[in-house]
Amino acid sequence: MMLQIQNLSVFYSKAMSLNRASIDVEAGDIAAIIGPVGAGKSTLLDAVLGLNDATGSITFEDKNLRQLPTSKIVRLGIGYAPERGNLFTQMNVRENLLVGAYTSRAAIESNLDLVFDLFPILKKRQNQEVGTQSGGERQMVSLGRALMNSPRLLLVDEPTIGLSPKVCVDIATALTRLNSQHGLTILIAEQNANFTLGLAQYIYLLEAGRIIGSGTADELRADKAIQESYFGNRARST
Amino acid sequence: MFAKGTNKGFLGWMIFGIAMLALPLFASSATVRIFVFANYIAIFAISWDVLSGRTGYISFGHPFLIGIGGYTTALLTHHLDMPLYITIPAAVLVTMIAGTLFFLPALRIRGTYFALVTLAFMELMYGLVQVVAPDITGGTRGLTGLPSIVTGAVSNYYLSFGVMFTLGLAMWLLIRTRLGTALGSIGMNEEAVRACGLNTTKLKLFAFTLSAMIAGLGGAMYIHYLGSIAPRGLFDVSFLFTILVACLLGGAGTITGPIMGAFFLTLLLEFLRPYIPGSERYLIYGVATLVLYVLQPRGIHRLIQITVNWFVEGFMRRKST
Repeated sequence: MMLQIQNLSVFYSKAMSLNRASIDVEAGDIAAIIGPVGAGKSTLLDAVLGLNDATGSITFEDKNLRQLPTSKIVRLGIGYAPERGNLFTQMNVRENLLVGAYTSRAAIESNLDLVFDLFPILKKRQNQEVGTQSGGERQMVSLGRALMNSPRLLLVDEPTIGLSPKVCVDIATALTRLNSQHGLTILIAEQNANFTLGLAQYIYLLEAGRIIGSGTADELRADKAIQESYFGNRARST
Repeated sequence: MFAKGTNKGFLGWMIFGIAMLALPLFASSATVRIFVFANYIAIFAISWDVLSGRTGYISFGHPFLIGIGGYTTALLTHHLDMPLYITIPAAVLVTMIAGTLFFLPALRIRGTYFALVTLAFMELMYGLVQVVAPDITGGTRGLTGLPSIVTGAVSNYYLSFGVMFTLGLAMWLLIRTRLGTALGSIGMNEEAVRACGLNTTKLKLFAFTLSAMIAGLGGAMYIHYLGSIAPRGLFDVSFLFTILVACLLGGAGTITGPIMGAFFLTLLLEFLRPYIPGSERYLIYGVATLVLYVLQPRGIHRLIQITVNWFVEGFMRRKST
């Protein structure tokens, strides 16, 4: 098991954001956590990176992450593509990517080549200030920045939020290529269940901080209750 | 190693350097002295920019650091007759240590709260030098008769310009490295920097210490230029505002912007003096600052960039047709 999270709880002041959540991610898989706004998806990804105070256990390739600072966790080979709002908007594309390369200096050129191969538009616009870019391009920068530290596990937070279907397809294609061609293990936190089902091998459902179910895409599609909650089948039938 | 555009910028630095070196050849002694003052304000503005302009930790207490440097060398020369080649490095060292005091609140707070805590540092220093051992610090009157590093307007000009130019160029090159980019990214989104695997605590400590080093050096040299040190002049809010406005008006986070801002403000105030000798000229200073800031919130630096680009693009267009 590449990433193992057990009984993870996170409190923001007195509010419990994550309640004894447990998930496993196999090496080479694309796993996903789906849930509505406020379910605790971003909190869970932040906890893996040590960005919030959490209780429970998180191990990455049998190393206990809970005892490590974020800088060391990233150096172990975990890349994080946060929501695209977390970019350095007054810097250009190239500078954003280089900030991500701080822990993998030897591979800067090869990682830049990888990012520009996945998202050719970024190569053309590498000197453009990120604040002036479209939502889709910013999402590509966010993913690209996470790839600059040569990760073996990529955490992706809300990659499709507010994006057009065409850009969502581009993002899905890039993630699939990273997984199949480069062997990257990916954990996605996403609200868009349809996007996730087409992409992930194993999916966890998160609601109000609790994992309420999990399974493969086919298993979840076959579950009526889940269909009604996440894929709008009830709405369609009425 | 350096970001794109460094060569073009380096050419700008060289032109600026040559022009400034030639200045005493055709400027009066009084004008040269105005430029000495502008050079020191530029050094303080560079110091503020390294810390606040880059990392976003807005310091309202920079005179505290400048004062530590100034008082350290003043006390050592005045009471112990120590030579300047020892007192000035000692002042820099003490200020760097004091810079870590500044750093401690930055581990817990940022934004307005950090700015207010740093303001408290300045006020604390203002109170301390007056109340604690006034026979040593000179109390409210301060200390006078401090030795000069060099004598004469032109020598002081070249000394202050040399230090300002060297520090400015070094910091400008620094911000164009990946380390400088990382420092700048802290000011935009510290959490995202952490998520990229950077140790923001170490980066901030580096910025704080570097800023303190420049402030300490500038403060120590400045008081030897003046030949005296007094708390009212050093810890006055208008001195703080001059540094802050120079940075914001010039373009914070760019190093060259604060230098431009420092020269603009100092020269504006001094050249207005014969026409408006009273404090009314601060009104014009305020209005000019406001107009410039509304016109281009990213400062004179950005304004010049846009103008140069406009000319270059126009020239290229004409050439191609």
